[in-house]
Amino acid sequence: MTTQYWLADSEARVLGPVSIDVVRDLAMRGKLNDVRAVSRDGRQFVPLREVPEIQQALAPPQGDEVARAQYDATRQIREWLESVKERPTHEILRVPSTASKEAARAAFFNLVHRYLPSRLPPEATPELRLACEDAFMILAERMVEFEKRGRSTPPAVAPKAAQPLPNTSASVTWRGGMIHVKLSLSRGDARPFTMDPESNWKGDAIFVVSGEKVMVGTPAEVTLSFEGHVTQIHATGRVIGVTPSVGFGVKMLDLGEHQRSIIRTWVARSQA
Amino acid sequence: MSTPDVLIVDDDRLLRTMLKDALADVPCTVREADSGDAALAAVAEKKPAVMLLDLIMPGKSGLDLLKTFSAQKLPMRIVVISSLDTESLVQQALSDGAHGFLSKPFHPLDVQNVVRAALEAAEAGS
Repeated sequence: MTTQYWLADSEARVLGPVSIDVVRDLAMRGKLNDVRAVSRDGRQFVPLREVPEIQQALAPPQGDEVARAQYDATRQIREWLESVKERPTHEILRVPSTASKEAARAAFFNLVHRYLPSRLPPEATPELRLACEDAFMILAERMVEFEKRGRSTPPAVAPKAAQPLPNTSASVTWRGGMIHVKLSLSRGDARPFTMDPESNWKGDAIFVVSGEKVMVGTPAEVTLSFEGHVTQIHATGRVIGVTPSVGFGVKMLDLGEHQRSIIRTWVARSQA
Repeated sequence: MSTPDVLIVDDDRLLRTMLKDALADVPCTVREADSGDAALAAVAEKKPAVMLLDLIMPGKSGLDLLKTFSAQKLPMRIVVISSLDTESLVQQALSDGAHGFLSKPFHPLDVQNVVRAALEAAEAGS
C-alpha cells in the first residue's frame, strides 16, 4: 500500500493524507511553501528534516530563481499600482461603468485575492509583502468609495498639504474582571506597537494610552482594526505593564503567524 | 419547510466571510466551523445539506474529514474549496468523497452556482 503523509505548516494547519506523488505535484506547482512537520499516521508529527523523501519532494527551485520570481512579482504589482492611479474604479475592477454594486463587489473579491498578504509564503520578501499590502489597500479604498457613491468615479486627487497627525482611537471597557481594548489604527500610525520599549510588537504586545486603572495580570481581550483593511485582529492576553497616568501594555497570547504578518507589515509601512 | 443548511469549514475568517457573503442570495442557512474538530461537532449537532470544505486546517485536515464523512455515508454534498488545485489532489478529493472542487481564488458567482447545484442534488437525493 502506498505510504500516506500528513503535512503541517508553521501554523499547525494540516494537509493529508496524501501520497508522495501528490506532494511532488503540489510542490512543483509552488503550492507547498511552508511545510514544517510530517506525519505518517496523522497523529505523530516529526520535523520535515526527519522525513528525507518528503524533504526531497519539496525541494524548492534554486534560491536565485525564487528571489528573481519575487522581484518580478513585486515589480509587476508596483507597475500595476502606478497604472491604476488615475483610472476610474470600474476600469480597475474590469467591469462596465454601469455595473451594479453586486457585480463590482464580485469583481473586487476576484481581484483582491491575488494580493492577499496571507497568501504569500513566509519567506516572501518585505518588498513583495508591502507591494501586496498597497495593492490590497488601494482596491479596498476604491471599493469603499464605489459602495458609497454607487458608481464609478476617477480617484480624488489627494492634496499635497501636510498630513495631519494620525488619530488612532482606543476604547477600554470592562467585562467582568476582563478589560476589552478596541484600537482603530489610523493609516501610518503604529505607535501602539512601537512606542513602549517593553510592550511592543516584537513581543506580541501593544501599549494602550489610557487613564484606565488596571493591574498587571488583568486578562484582556484585544480587537485591532486597521484603516483600509477588512481584516481585524482579535486576541486574548494579559496586562504586562502599567505606567500610571499614561497607559498599560498588553501581551497578546494567541497570535498566529498570519496576524503577526499583518502587524509586521503595518509597522514596516509606518516606518517606510 | 425549513431552509437547508450550508456549513462553511475553513480556518480563515476572511475566507469564511467571503463565502458567507457570496451565499447571501442563496436560500440557505449558513453555519461556520473554523477547524476540522469544529466541523465534526457542527455535523453531530445538525447535518448540513451541503458542506464547503477547506483542505488545510489545524487538527483534522479536510481530507481526514472527507474520509470520515464518506465512511459514515451521510447524505451530505461536500464541495472542496482550495488553492491546491493540482489534478492529482483534485482526483484524490473526489475519490475520497467530495462531490465537487472549487479553486481559490473563486468568483462569488461560482460559489453560488456550485452551492445551488449541490443543494438541488441534495434535495433530489433526500
